[in-house]
Amino acid sequence: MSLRDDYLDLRHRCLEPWARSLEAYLGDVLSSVDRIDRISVRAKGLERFLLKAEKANDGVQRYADPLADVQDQIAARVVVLYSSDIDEVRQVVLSYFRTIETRRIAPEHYSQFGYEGFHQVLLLPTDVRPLSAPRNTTKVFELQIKTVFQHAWSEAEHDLVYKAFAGELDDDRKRLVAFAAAQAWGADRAFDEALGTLTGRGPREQA
Amino acid sequence: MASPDLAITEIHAFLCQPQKRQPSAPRLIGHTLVAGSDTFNLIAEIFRKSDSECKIDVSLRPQPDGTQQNDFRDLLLAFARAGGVQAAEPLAYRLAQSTTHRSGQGLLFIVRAVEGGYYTLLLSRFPTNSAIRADLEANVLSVEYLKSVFVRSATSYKAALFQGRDATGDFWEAKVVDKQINLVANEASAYWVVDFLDADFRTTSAQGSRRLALAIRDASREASSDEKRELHNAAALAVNLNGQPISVDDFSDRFALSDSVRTLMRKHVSDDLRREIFIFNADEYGRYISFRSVELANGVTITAESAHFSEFVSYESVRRSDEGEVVRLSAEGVLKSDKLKRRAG
Repeated sequence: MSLRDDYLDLRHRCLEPWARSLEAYLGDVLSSVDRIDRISVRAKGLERFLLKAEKANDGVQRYADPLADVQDQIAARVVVLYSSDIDEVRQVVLSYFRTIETRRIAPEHYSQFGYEGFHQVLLLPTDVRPLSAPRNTTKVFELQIKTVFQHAWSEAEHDLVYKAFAGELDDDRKRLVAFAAAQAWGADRAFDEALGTLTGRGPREQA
Repeated sequence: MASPDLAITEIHAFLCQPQKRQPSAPRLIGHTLVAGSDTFNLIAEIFRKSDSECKIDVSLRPQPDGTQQNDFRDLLLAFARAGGVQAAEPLAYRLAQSTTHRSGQGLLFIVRAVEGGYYTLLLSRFPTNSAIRADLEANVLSVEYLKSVFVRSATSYKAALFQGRDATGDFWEAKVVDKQINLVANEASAYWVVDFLDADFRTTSAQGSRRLALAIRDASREASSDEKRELHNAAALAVNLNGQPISVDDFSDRFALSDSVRTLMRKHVSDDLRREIFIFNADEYGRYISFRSVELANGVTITAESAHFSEFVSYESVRRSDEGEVVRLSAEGVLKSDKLKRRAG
């Protein structure tokens, strides 16, 4: 069987049912957290998986065994209303899941604006992935925690990069997209500070 | 899991002296067992039984800054890929560096098996003990004191079983034997899981406590009156287990639940999940299950889930008396059971 066939088979038999189960599980454990806009979990689409499987760094294939190495075959996203809510979700997630990676993705320099989000790679709980699961299936999933503004920007920007539109953005258009990211950042700060005023909490730094 | 027919490629032995806080301690000398020898066959038999003996699920920890990396895992993967006593030695050295004099020296066996790119690795540590050997030959009895004997049946025997591919998502979990696991908070006994493997129980405290609470709650909804009473009593006492390692099966054993109640709980929790050990957290447990029970001085008791108590039970204050508040309780619902029982005595 080809990688395409293998992934289609695993996706149907395992990844999709586990994604549904994980979404229900996350919904339950996060039920006490206020101001969650949405929780979604999906099994990675075939074409996106194959695109990722073919990635190379300096001519060397990045994933020697894509079915084993690609860690976002199941991806979960929790979207919150305010940036200060991210930390509360993080704490609940840390208490319910075992992590193998945690990282905050943000522009490297304070003068830059672009993608922002909180990413974790977590072990699938045995309530979702049973111990009897086929041994060539993934044992982890990726979780992203974002604000509504971060999510909106990343979704719109993602389509510009990955969809098969004609051509590529020029520098001026790229700067416009970065400007939109700055506006998303500003919106998060504005709402978070307003919330802080109402709740008596001082201005907070980014998580 | 470890198949009885899985081909063992090699077994190495290392004598690990306690070397904690001795970073300049010398490297260890390993010995590769000869295939077919008595010791090889003994360890191979342990390997074949390891899946059923290693019952505690653990997961390795990433770096404190969140980087996806674990020093022990790196050593294990290096050995899995390359094999050989030279690649095995760093694992033994790490064990020595994690062991204190209180735990003493141990004999570590490292077993490697490979099948189609899928590795199975067993680390098996025999603690040291002393023994007396007696021989009767030609009517002459000789006795000999053996200073360093390594015994597997001792309570301080430890093992860890790993299975997976050479892949980023594999070898983050293991199954271990640690007969001192109930003392995991004790530094001396925690060295195997906490220091050597740099790991923790795979099921988090919150995960496991939630699982237990939901199993009790869901079983209670299908239970008879007697079964409900049994479950509610056990559920209330469970809070005393806060901070202790436990599994759903352990809970049933500790409170001597009847077969019928265990059957009800089994309907809601699979065999694998019932055996997973976690540190019980009473607060988390209480989020998912709590029963409210109101008892009157005349012996009448009404019990219901806290979340639904005020919905199902009408509670009315009638008057104050010298003995206390007089209340009227009323409940309406389909009758499930009405038993006449003699009072004791």
